[in-house]
Amino acid sequence: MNDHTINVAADYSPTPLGRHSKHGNYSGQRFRDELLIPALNKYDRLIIDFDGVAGLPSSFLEEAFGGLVRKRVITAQKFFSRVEIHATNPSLSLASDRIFRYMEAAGVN
Amino acid sequence: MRMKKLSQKKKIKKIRHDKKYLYKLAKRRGRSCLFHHKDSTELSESKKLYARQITAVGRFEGKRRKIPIHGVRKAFDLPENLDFEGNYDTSLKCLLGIRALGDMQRRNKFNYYLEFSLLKNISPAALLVLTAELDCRVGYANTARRKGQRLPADSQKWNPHITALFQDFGIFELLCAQPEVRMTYGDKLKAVKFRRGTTQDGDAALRLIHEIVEVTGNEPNSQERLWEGIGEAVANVLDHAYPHPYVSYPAKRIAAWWAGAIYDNLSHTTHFMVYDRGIGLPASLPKKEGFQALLARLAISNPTEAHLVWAAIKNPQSSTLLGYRGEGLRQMAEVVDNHKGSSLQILSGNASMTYLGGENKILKNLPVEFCGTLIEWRIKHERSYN
Repeated sequence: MNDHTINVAADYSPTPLGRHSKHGNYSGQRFRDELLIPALNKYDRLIIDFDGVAGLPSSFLEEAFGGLVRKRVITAQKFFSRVEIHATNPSLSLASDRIFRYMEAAGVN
Repeated sequence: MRMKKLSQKKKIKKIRHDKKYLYKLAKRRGRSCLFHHKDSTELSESKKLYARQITAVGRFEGKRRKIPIHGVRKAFDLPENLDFEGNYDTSLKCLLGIRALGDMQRRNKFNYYLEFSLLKNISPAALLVLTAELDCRVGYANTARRKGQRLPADSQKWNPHITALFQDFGIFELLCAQPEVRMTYGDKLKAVKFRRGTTQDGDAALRLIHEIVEVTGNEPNSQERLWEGIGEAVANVLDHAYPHPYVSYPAKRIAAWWAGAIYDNLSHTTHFMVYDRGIGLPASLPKKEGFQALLARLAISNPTEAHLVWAAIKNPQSSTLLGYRGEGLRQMAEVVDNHKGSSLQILSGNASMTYLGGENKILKNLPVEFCGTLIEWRIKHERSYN
């Protein structure tokens, strides 16, 4: 079992925003394609740490995590069996629930 | 002579070729920005919208007169009061007039001059829209020669409060004028420099919040929610406000956003605003069955555009009509839910929607379409600025 932690603020950006990479440098699409998918392919267990980010805009979250389901990389259930969402900041504490919601909805649509 | 009949494929090829040729020609003549194919339905729609606006609010007229240093120019006097709440028609007339200046200058070959000396009051929202229009005149002028050229102005006769506000907001970077003395913050409104962008730049939104907090000392209850709201407004501009094809008339299509933050010392309120010159929120909402069903569920039988915006906020569903792809509006509204006594106002299309938290809202129909989309949060603070 090999573990890995992605600290979003340090490894990507403290201000992730937007959906598509054509519209911005720190989009959900780029996070998914450059960090999330390679990490899911390489490691068995993953911790995604959101501490230090300015907030979690829905466009970023939905594209990054809902996009995993849409692209058939992983299902919501399998994702949460391997990935732990970490956020000690009370304002970001619902991150895990929101990600689950986006992934479930992406599977339905 | 009989014309040779062209196949559909060749017709398309010819139109593309003509379009490319005319584009190059127009660019050489310095007309690239307003070039559109003459049969473009988007252009005719855009022209119709502009005609509707001008019919409703009137044309912003200027008079030729001698301006010190700059010589004889067509001078346009800005009104005494620029405010969308109490003076919507005059404010819109003035801003549309500034937007049309480039086109008028190209057609009629005159030099213009904007006279700000009559201006006494300007609301934060109107200030941002005015800045965006001036910024477009300077940064995205029709010709390479005019691009980057600051607009002629003389701040000596201006109201000192306006001078201070313009200086703080960064408007002097767009004008060929400087106040003689570095003024301190305006007596009523305190501003930080406006931001512009053509990408979904979350960092710019965060810096805007930090700077206004530094000036006023008033921190928002939840900076995360505020940043998410402003960030989503910026993200929505690039995702929805400038679809392809979208033609803007009388000024060219510039897929950009402008943002500003102003503190009102009298009401202890910080105004955060995001503006774009795009298609408008009601026009970007889905016209499909899903949205009609949603309106029926909200018991809205004859929906106005303000109703459409309200429905989109209460039931997130963006123009893509896919679940959870329109939560941006909802996140914008959540800023109000996290700051008691605050409000969110959206001016777009014919809609004026003010969200006051919970189920409280004020829906109004504007007399004529607004010139883009303006999103304004009014964050109320309990303690005042010292």
